[in-house]
Amino acid sequence: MTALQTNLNSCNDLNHPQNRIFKNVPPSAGLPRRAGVGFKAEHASDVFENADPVSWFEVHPENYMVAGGPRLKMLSQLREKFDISLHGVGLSLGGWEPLDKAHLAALRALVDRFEPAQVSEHIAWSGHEGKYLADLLPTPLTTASLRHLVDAIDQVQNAIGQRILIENPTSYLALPQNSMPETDFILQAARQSGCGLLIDVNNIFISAHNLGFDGRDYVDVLPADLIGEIHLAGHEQDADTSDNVLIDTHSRPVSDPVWALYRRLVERIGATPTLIEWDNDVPDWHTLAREARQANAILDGLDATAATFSQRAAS
Amino acid sequence: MRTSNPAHVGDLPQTDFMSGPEDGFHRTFCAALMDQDPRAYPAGLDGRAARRFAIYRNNVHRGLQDALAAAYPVVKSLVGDTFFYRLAGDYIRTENHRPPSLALYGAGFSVFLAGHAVVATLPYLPDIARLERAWLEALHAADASAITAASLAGFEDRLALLRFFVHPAVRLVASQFPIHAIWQANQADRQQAEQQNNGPAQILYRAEAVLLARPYYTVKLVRLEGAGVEFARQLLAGQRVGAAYEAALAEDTHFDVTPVFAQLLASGMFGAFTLGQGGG
Repeated sequence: MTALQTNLNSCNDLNHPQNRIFKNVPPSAGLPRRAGVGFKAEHASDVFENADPVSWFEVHPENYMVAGGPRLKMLSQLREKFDISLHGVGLSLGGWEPLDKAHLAALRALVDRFEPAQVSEHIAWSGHEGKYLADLLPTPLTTASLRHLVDAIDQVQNAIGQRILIENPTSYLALPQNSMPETDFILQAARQSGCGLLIDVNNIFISAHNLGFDGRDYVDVLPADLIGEIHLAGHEQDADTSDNVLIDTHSRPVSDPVWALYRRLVERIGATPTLIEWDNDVPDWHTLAREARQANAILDGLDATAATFSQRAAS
Repeated sequence: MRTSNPAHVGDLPQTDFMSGPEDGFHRTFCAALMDQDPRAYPAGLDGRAARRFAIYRNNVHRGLQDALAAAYPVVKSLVGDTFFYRLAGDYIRTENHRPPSLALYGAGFSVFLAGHAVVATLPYLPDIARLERAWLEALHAADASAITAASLAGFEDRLALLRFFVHPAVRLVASQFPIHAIWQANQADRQQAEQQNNGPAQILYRAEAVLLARPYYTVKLVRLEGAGVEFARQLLAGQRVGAAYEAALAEDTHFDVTPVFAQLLASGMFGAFTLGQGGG
């Protein structure tokens, strides 16, 4: 049985046909509803010896879009033992140009080879007119932008043959042309394209702080049936302290208010695959594992009567 | 570089729109990110948003500069961190090639360096960058098996007739400078060993070429000089061993082929071989 058939046969929580325009995309296998972490080569020996309490790993596919060599070999070894998630940072779904065909083909090749339990991308853009910018830049929240995003998601899902998740952005500023709330924008993108959501709680906390809204209001309107994964990470105050702005650095432990916002979300939607992202000033494995343990403790403590994914899917 | 008031780059559309103007948004945003003036921002942003635009600019510049630094550690070590990041800051504005992976960012860096004033004092810098680029390409090249000396057992009497298929990771970088010695002297583990022993190795001022191979998962460097470079070049071009040897002899009548051939074979540069028929 292929991984795809397994996906189709499994009772998948994300496969809500309601409001879908594109109904022919099979859901992904889905990750364990436990803590995962971003894979770092420096943790390889710890991970291969004993990854407890981490049960899955996330990588950026762009780091593996090479013909061969040690990186792909290490990813093969990782995949032999764990579920993996491919979390893209370079498709530029929120750009205004056609998707890069070569990039899409490279992603497809990685999906075919490694059979990830989940594929995700950002609502952002990272290049324009041949210029690669290596960052997640803000997408205008407009109806034209939304249409373009939905088309882009559809192209990706058709190219790799499975449903993807899209991640809510971090905001440092509000673009003047924005014409709808971000929550409307991402929910419509998901409903219209048939994709799911990857909710980065740290991004919500940072955006709420930087733009002056209540992160709880954002979290509370997110429908459980669309959320396939959660991200948690650390942030930092900008070096320029005259402007009280938080930067999404992925360089620190998850902060207490982000844990609180996370708890609020999963208490309502039930256990959800949760990734700890730590990409700069990467700590030793022990420190990272402690963050994962904390997420698992929250997931373990959820009220057993809270809606589970399978209940949601059946309803 | 302008140091006056923050510059408005182009015009940002102010309202919702259907199609065309979105392209203007991305172009304008991109142009402001790449503006010479670090305080530039796209028109349409108010005071606080305009100031915060610098966060994106910092992320973009730092991200690309770090990617270049990771790809060119020896160049960075030769010019120092501060100057390297200045060079990188200029380079990222000129680079318009989008690599599939950030690991392969910076393909045009050696050409950029060749046209930069820095070559007046460090003339070998572009060639070092070419060598580092070749190393990176070799590391990420397609996997394939390589033949060894044992694979040639039984063909000893017909070596001159053999023609090789080159392993996909193989690169050859030739220079009029001692690029192999400079590269070696700037490897972190090498430097550590020198501190423990007897100071930096002496670098002879001579032309060197480096052949890079990666038969398994580690890149190997083979230093070549003199007619050995031509011998390797001919083999890479698919010539028979005999023809390659003759081309090398034409350059240096004293060329000793045996140690060079043994070295090349041991590097893992050959994926397969065939008995060449006709031609060169």
